[in-house]
Amino acid sequence: MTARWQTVLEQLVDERYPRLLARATLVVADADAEDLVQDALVATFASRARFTHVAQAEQYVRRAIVSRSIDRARTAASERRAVERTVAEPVPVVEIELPGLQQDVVAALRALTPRQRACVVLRHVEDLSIAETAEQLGLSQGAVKRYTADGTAALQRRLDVAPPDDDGERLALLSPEEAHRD
Amino acid sequence: MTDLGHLLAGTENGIARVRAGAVPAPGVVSRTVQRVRRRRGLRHTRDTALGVVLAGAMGSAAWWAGASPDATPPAGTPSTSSVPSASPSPTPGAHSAAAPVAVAVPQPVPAGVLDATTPGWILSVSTQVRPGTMDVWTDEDSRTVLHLVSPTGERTTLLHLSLPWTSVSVLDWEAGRSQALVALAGRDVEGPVFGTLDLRTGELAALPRLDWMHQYVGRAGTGDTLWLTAPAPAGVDPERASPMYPPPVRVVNDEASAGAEGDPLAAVPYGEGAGIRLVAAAPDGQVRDLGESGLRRPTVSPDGAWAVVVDTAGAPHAVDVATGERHALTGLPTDPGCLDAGWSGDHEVLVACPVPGTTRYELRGHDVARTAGSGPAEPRLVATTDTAVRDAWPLGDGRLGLGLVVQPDPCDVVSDPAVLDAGVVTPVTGQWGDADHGGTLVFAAGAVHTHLNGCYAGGRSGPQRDVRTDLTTGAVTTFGWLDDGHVDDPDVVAADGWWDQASGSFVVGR
Repeated sequence: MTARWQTVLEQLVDERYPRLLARATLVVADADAEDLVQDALVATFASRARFTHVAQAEQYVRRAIVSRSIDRARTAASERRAVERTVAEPVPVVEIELPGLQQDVVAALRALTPRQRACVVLRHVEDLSIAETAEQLGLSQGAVKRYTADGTAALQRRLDVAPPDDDGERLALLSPEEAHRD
Repeated sequence: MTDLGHLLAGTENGIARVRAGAVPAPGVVSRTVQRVRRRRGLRHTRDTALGVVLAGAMGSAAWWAGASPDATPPAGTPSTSSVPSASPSPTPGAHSAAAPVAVAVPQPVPAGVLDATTPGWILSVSTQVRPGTMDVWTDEDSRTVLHLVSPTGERTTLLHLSLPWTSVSVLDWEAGRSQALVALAGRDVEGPVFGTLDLRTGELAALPRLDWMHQYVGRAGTGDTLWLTAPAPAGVDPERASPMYPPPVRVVNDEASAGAEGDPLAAVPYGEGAGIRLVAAAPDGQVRDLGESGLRRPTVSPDGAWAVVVDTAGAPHAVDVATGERHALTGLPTDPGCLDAGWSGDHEVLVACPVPGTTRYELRGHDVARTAGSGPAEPRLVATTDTAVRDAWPLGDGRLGLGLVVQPDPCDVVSDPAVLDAGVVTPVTGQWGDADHGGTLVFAAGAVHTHLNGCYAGGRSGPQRDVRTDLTTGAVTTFGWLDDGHVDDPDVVAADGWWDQASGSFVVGR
């Protein structure tokens, strides 16, 4: 018999891997998406959190994908795994083909900074509040407002989407550390 | 959802449709499972050493939950007792150590290093693995190592554990001594085995098992070690059941599934009234029964004179470790929102209760010695905080170390350290990373020691590492790493004789 967490993990991958990949593709380049999904799975299932069903675990992992994308430097571990994967499985990286507008959306997201992208996805796709997004990403609420506003403004310019009302307020200045991290 | 949200969500769904049928590359899932299992295993080893595994140290429920203000003791049981429990010792005979046997290989160590250690030095356990062996892990590819670590982070390797022993948890160590109380586990060995480990020779003087289940609680000021013990419950074959986890879950090995990897195979509710006893074992091997305990782990006061026990009815008691006298702590609040926050004095229990209508908490100290001597005393208001508090411990200079619970469930069982001084609470995490959060906190020798980022509730999380944080300067010393990303240093090339290392558990010398 397998441990409960392992059953949930394997079921999540078996049933919802494309959705996890899709979330990762929103926030990182295609070539990094699989690595990011794995990192988020390890972080989520190695924690003390206990999941009773796959949907609950999926929510945790999808948010972990976004938050970890910010710190997604090419660490030695990820670099080596990428190299190992290439050597062991020399499958060419396939760029996904999407309908025109969706391809434009992906391109527009790529043009954002990692923090802008993470804030936009958590605020607008996950529907998290400013406070919840700040907690998820370890940022101040002022920083979340700033990154979200900058990100949505940039997307609006490229995609001609109306700006959300709740992000139109004036924002506090970022701390010097926050301003320079991107 | 906003228009932008609909657009992004639609794009995400489009990507998922294009990726329909995508599966991870061969071996990826198994490697992911192994990484998770390894981290969970190391966390369990670490938690065992810190005593977190026992019920009562996990979760934020009040330790006396279930007891009502009007609860009366069962008929025939006085609320205070002037005589020790009349129940017989669970295991007849002395708790004397067996002859030492070699369990580890000593490493070259400069003369006098152990003798020169002072409170604040650390014994740390790590697992070392040959690089590139993640998928095929043989006995020769991994080893368990015991290190001595100075307060400034210098590491000296003391011992390499010998097969069949594969894990060691240091339970207690007095700085300057060459012996430590440990729990050993191994492959195909009935364990854990408790005993005194000679840090110079690698020899273990094993202690006899006090009962089918026995778990280390702490060390009393008398020098006695305190244990929780229990017989195998009725109807359970003790040869096929392993008390590997704390109540209320008990593990039963199923022979039909022998050979399966991973966590134990079945869980059976342990239930109250399982005959759990608190026992004191003296250095000369004599054993004293200090009375019944419920499922919640007892705690030992900073002066080592008192053990606070919650009985099977959920009522807390203070047990005088020297005499065995037991005194009901009837003055403690029973609001289920109140939390066991630690100790605010040598024999003062700290309780954190929510302030009605706010998100703040009042911290009140309850002197268990005074309660035992003259009845319930008025609790002392220690402070009011913005968050719940855990792991409080007096620093010996009038200040109080606190753990501020800043993360949501399920990580409300860990906390970030702060110092309470003259009514002012000051966090000491100023030099931590912005994505760092503490674990169980150990205040000792002017510092707080903890494993960072062991609990993940979502969001950003810094690398997992063991740190010492100076309570005056805030200076941080890292003395162990768990995170693979750090262990795999990009500037280091593995060669013959190289071992990747990941920290496990640690104990701060008292």
